[in-house]
Amino acid sequence: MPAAINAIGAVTAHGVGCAPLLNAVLEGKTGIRALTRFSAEGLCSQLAAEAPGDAQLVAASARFDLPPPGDRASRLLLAAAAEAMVGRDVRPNPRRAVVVGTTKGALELALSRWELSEESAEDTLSRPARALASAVGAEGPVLTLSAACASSAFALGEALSLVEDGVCDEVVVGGTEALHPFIYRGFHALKALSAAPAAPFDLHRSGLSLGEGAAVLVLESEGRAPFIRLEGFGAATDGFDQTAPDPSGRGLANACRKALQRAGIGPEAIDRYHAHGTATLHNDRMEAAVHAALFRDRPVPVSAVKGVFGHTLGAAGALDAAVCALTLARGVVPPVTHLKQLDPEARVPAVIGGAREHPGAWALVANAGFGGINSALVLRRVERAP
Amino acid sequence: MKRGVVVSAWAVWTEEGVRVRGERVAGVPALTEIYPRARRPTSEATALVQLAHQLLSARRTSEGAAGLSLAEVDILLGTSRGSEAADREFWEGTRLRGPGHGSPSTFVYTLPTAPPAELTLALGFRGSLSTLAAGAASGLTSVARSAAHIAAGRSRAILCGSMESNERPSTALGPNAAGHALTLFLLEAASPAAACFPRIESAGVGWRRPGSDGLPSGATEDAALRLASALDRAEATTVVCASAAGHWARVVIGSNHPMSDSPSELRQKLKELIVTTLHLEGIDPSQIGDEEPLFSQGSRLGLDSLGALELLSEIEFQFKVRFESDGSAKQHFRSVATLADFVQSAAR
Repeated sequence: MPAAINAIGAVTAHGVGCAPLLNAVLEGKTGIRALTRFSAEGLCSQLAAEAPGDAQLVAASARFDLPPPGDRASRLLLAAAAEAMVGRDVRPNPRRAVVVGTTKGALELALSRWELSEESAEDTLSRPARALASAVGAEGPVLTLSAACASSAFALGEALSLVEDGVCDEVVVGGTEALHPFIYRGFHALKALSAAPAAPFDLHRSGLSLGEGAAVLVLESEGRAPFIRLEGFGAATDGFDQTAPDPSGRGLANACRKALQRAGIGPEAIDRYHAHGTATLHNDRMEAAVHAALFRDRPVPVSAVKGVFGHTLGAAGALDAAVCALTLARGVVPPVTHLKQLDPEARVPAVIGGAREHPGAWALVANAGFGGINSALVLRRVERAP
Repeated sequence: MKRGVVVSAWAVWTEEGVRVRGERVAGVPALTEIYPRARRPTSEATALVQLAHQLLSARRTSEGAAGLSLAEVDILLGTSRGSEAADREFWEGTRLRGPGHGSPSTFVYTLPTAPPAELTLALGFRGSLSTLAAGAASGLTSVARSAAHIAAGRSRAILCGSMESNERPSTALGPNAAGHALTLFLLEAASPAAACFPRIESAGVGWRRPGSDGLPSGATEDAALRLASALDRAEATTVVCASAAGHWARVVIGSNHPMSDSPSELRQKLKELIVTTLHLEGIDPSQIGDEEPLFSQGSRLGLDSLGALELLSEIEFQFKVRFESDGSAKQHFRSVATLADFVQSAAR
């Protein structure tokens, strides 16, 4: 049973809200700029897609009437949730659940505790989910999923299951990730950071740009037409390497097939493909292989938006789903930002230049991460009440 | 639950050593024996691969167990502290050696999913892979959610459990460190071939704001270990966990369920039930023959029709089965063996 996506909130380098995000995505505007929150001196990039400052995030989530959370990932998440929950009931409800995807959660709290040699409190990973649950009055399951850069796609999958099983009437689901020198230094060590803004599928791309942000979606069993529905989720692993994806794309293709099967359709029904598109050589070529394996010679348009708001890691899946839902609702496919000359080794029917009108109702959203983790979501625009 | 869920294997690694399905395992093979191509896994990842290897060996040699393809086994492991040891090591490294000189391989292990990803490389799991955090209830929550996925038909089998002990959260990690524990469960969809395994009757998870009413009472410590111990003792039980941060989880292991009994265990249980229900003082249950007639004239069991009804009702209650009222019940009451056959088939 599919679930309706009845509300969306987002925070990205383009500010608080879906409107500025959608505008940037459609116009191919980048939020990747010089870092301000910390120094990256001596590292191979000085760029990042930073979200608004803490004061703005706290102001955006003022309606929740809670003390501001002590970590940035929670502040990002609550600012996104405030938009998604406009006009919605936030009184305590055991039929309301929260599912959050993140890779590092409230990392900075753990780091500062170690520096003070204090003992760890109850985990930092699930802190943003609890902050969100307090804010929106969720008393059902409150879960945090980690699956590398597919974390919040997995969160959406878990949320779909909770709706499908009738455990909940409403799931407030999302992803959040805060930029931190820890993460920045790590991607530097992996030689994955690009000195120029990320350009997925471009011949001259040189790696990824880190970003931060959050997206929150509200899933329910029913929607008011026209609306966007989450129809399927699938996941599979490569078993190939801890960091590099299987170049054949077998794992991601399996994840896509599982998601399609759950949605009850075949690849021939898909009208658009939202790529993970990190702009690393390995990722882009792997996704080109997946596109060829799934769609054969059919030119299913590919868009990729990490040039707009960076790679937000644990938040990427939810932000990709949010962008997919927002553009699907408008009947447009967004362009691959910064793509000028297609890499002949990653030849996909990319949307180049500007957004394109596109009537198709079925979309596939792909995510892939370290550990050979792959996931796919199937979204659909429903014109009339079923 | 729409589909039955069984626990086909479980394994724990604590400071007292390794226990697989209740039996102590003396020597665990080194990682290189299991996975010769292993590169630089952390001690947590190494222990995870070793323990999962033991668990799978036990599963594969199970009596009556159907083949299990790891291509369709998902992984959903609970962790409340994620990759804390690797986090500290990486962060300290960039502080000592400089921001530009962090260790790339340590950074890879700062993802909570890196140790379980080693399972896909070493052992061939190819299903879904993620970790789940729900405070100190993470391990039991992963079991409860895995049971729900299998019950709904979304998954055929899931490796779940807890990647750490919650008992003493401040202690260092690593399988040899005091207070650390790994607890793994392999959950599968019930099938006739998996009838010998204990069954999960129900499972649930939830959350309450700390301090508010309605949080179920239950110990916080090591719920995953308590679940494993209950399975070791073949004990029907409810394991509940309520964490200080408000997360709770509950897993109910089947009550005296014939699905969980081997044929000889089931027959023994029925013999004990006959002795206690019919007040047959002086008869040792194990002295009753499997084929010994229950009804015949002069039988020492001396079952009459009222006694049979009493026994029937007790069997229905204890084993959650139902005899038809069309007279067919009588044929099942010929002997302990025929009763056991009926109970086993009716339970399926």
